[in-house]
Amino acid sequence: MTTVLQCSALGWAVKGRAIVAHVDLHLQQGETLGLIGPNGSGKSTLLKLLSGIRRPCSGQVQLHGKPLASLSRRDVARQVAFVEQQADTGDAVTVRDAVELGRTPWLSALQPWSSEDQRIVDQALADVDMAQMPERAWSTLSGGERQRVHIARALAQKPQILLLDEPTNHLDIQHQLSILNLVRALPVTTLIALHDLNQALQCDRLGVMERGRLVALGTPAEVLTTERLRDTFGVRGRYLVDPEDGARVLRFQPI
Amino acid sequence: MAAWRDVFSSLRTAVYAYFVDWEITRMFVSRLAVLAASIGLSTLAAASPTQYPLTLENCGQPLSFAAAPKSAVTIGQAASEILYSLGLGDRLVGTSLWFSNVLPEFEAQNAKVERLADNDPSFESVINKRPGLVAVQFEWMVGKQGVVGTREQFHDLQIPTYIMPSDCDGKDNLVGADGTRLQPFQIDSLYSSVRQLAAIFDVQAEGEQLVGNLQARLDKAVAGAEQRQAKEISAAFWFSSADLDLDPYMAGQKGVADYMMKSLGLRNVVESSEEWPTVGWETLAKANPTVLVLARMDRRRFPADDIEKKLEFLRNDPVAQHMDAVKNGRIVILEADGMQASLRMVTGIETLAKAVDGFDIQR
Amino acid sequence: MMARGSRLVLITFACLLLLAAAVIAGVALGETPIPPSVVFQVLANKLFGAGFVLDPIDEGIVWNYRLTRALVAASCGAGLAVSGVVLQALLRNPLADPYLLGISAGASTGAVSVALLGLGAGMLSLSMGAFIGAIAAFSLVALLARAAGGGALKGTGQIILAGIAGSQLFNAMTSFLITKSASAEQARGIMFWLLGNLSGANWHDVALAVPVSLAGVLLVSWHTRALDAFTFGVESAASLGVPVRRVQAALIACTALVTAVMVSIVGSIGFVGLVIPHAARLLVGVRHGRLVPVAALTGAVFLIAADVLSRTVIKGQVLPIGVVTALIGAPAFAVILVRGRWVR
Repeated sequence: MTTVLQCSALGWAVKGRAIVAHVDLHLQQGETLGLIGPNGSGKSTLLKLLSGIRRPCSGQVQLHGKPLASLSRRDVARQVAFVEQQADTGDAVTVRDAVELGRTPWLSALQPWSSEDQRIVDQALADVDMAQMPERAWSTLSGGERQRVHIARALAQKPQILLLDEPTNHLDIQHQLSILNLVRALPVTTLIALHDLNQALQCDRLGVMERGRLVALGTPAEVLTTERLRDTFGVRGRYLVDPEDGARVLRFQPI
Repeated sequence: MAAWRDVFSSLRTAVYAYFVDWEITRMFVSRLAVLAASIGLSTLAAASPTQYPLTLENCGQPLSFAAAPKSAVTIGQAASEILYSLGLGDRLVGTSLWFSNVLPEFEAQNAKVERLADNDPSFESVINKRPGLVAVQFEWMVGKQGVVGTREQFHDLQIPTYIMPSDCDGKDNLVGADGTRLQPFQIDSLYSSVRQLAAIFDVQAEGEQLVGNLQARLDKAVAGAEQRQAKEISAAFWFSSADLDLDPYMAGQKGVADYMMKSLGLRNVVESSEEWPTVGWETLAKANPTVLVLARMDRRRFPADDIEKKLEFLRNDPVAQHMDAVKNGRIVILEADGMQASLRMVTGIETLAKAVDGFDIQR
Repeated sequence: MMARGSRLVLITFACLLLLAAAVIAGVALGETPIPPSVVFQVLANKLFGAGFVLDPIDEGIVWNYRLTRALVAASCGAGLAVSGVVLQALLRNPLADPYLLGISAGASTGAVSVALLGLGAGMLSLSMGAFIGAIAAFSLVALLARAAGGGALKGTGQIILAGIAGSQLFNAMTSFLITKSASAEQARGIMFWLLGNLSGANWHDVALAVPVSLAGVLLVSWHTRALDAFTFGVESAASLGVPVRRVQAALIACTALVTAVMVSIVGSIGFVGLVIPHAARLLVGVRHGRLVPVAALTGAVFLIAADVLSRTVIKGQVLPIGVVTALIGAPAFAVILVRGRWVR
């Protein structure tokens, strides 16, 4: 298993307060790694540091073995795509316009828009199930549809690594499930920040953030123990088994 | 005697004005009636001492004097020079608002009088002098929107203010940046200024003499009006410009400068009724006046105040240099004070008449 | 289906033709009536050396007064409109206009200092004073924005607030100078200049305005894809591979320079940088590849039209062009607001 993205002793602080401190993380090719932790644990900031949008105060991020800081933003964008928690616009863009933005790192004066770009955009729209409404105005889309369009934009970037910051936060349950299934089915390496711990169980590996530090990293079974639930999340958790297919489900109660 | 002379000259001017300008004719004919009625009075009053208490109407406000004021402050060079000419220099305790050096004959006297400000004085500096009268050249100095103060502010302190009628007769100073003339300027308002100030200070003999002199000089200067009229000579007065790149301030219709042109039989190419409107160079070039009159002044508030800069512009501007007046050197330079209602105005008319007659102008 | 390339050529050609038509209209109409035949004869004389015999005053007016004014108006309109587009895209704010960065306020202070304080000892013209003031104000705003943002220009709110602070400061200085030193006449003269004035335009102004404006439009056109990338915010643009700080710095500096040059030549002409981008969006949508050239063209044509109106609407009097653009711009903005497609 090759490491595609890694960080060592990564830290970021503002006004003396460390938001992220001493994080070591290796992302393996093809895996879906979930990032969980209570509010304020630094998940969003860690994702931004890993994607290169924010510069770390200490430590280093390496993409395919090369330091992230030494690569141009354009080169990074061709390999890493980032979907923010909340990205909105007041402009009158259409769905297609928004997805076409994803081709930005691949276009230049010498490489103008081609039919290949068109094909990639159409494919991305189909992947998120928005192919029937490419000309819809942004303002008429629901929260879930907007999130799907953002993901389509990230897909249009044709990245090898996808970083998603709580993509299901404000969505209804149907769209939460459909997006998670989509992401897991994609043949790209994914690092996804999540709130719902049951959804996190579906990931290949989990990382737990607490107060800016990575306190646990491993398979869901290794990481989401009752002790961890008690210490980091402050709840009492019990595993139940669904009789229909034998899947494990967590039940939470206050301490 | 002076009154009879007034009547005669008005009659004569009215006759030729009939052929020149209907408006001027109207004005002179109506003035004639007023003059005829007042002939008796003025003949009697010609050289007699003032009867106190003296009440007179000045720019819409009644003024009353129990005796001749013992001291005066002036706001405006014209007012200062009129008082000097009437021999009242020793009663002057403060002057302000100067456009150029005082007339040479009053230099020594002026040096003894305190200059409160070269431009507009402050209200306090004026009342500090405790004058018996404040004589003002412009209503925008002391008036409804007076820069120094309103007339009420002075009258509340028992200080009467006298505004020269040349700035308020038939003029609305609340419209347009320098006021707008509703009626064309009349030389009578200048004579009134002299006469009324003379009456206030009980020096009417000197007043009549001064008016007589001005009248005679004016009559001599306008003698050739008909011939100039026949040659269809047009003119434009350029005062200054806020910037040489911006539109110039030209003399509008009905103002003092316009009166100077009309009385000499010249046509003013500027059509606005404002006293000093801005007119584009394109319009001026197309109007192509026969004669251009430029103002010379000591003031340097704008770069274009400098007469050399004005001449340089006319020589170098790609359109202005083709104007008739510029190509043929028909440029007259007048003192800026000569373009306002003041004693110098008559000098201005004389200079302009002499210059225009000196040009070789074909019909 | 025509190839994209040849369609582009055709559209460019049509736009240039439209611009030329606007310029000719600006030359043919003015304070005094000059017959169109004379106008064309003058142009033929000057451009092709045809030997028509014409009144030198007419020739001078058409070639040296009106043509220069039309060209300066076109450059200024294009420059301000494109600056408005850039600032609205980078600052993510539909109310952003080129004067947000303190440039107009600084230019006023500079011009007033030269006119009233005699700064520069008669060597500096009003325009030079205005330019220096504009750059000084912009530098202050940029420093303020940096200080407020902790070294990063990412916070658009900080840039806007810094711009407001800078503008207020320089406006206050202008007011102070005018009340302290100016007579009524001087204040009137300066007011006229500050409200925008194309009167004194000459070929020197054209030689400055046209290249600067053209360079600005070209630079922005080079970055239209980057501008599109800012649609969903600064961080989104970064994730799409745009070197955010470099692009922001380059485009904002370019905008500031173009605006400063324009303001120093013609004074503060308002509403062009604010309203024209929105009008252009109504015409061709929000993609900057089409928006930037259309905004430039619309701005150029609009300002030529406003200049002609300012000279012809009241006979014998020239209105300050800033007044005309505001009188047209405000209701136009209202219409755009009501009919605009970006209703949430």
